[in-house]
Amino acid sequence: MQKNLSWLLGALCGVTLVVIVYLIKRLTSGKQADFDERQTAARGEAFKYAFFTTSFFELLYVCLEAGGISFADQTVGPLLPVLLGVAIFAITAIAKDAYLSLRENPKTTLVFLLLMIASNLLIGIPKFLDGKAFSDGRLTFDGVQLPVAALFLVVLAAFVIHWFRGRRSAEDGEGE
Amino acid sequence: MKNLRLKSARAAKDLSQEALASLVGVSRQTINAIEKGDYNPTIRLCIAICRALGKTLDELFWEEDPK
Repeated sequence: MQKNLSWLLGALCGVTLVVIVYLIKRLTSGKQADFDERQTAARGEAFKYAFFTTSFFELLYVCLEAGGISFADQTVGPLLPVLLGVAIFAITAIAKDAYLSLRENPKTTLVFLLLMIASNLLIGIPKFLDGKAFSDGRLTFDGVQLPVAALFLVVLAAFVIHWFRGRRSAEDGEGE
Repeated sequence: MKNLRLKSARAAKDLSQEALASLVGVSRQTINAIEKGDYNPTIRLCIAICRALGKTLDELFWEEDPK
């Protein structure tokens, strides 16, 4: 009962946060589109790659489970291909200069990514050291912060590399 | 194919890619991609660029038949 209540409160906090962020975005956005036409097309392509990656790895996960090969318990296993899909979307969008909208500040995104990595590692590492992250050689739900941190780390690396390359090309004659 | 006519028209107006992008409401990378020939803009964006640079669609975007 106590566990159910905690889960419910956690879910409620998550939904409330999403609604608040959405409302703030709606109220602060002007008439100008968030993404231009090239960015919108690029994001669509990135979404397509992410969708097929997630679908493929979900299928692979199900096949491996059916074959008796299990590397993660069933609460976290299906989440891993979704994380992979998110990474594919972010990296593709970053590579095509379509990750940030026209008004977004790269430094804000950088801080957000660093915070996500730090908070997940802060929770994940103690659980890993306590031995809660793995059980019988399988990743448990307590260890889910580690792949999430890895996801944000990969996105951060792609973001930083692309950001510096973009700044350098802009300084060296506007990307020519 | 590179769009050198767009690049020279922008330079003639003394506009940077960033400034032109801001005038037509797109990112600098989009203007860069159009100039490099990596992206084909929609007619709506072509018109916006032409208006910002004081040029016609023919002057900036029409390509002669190679035959």
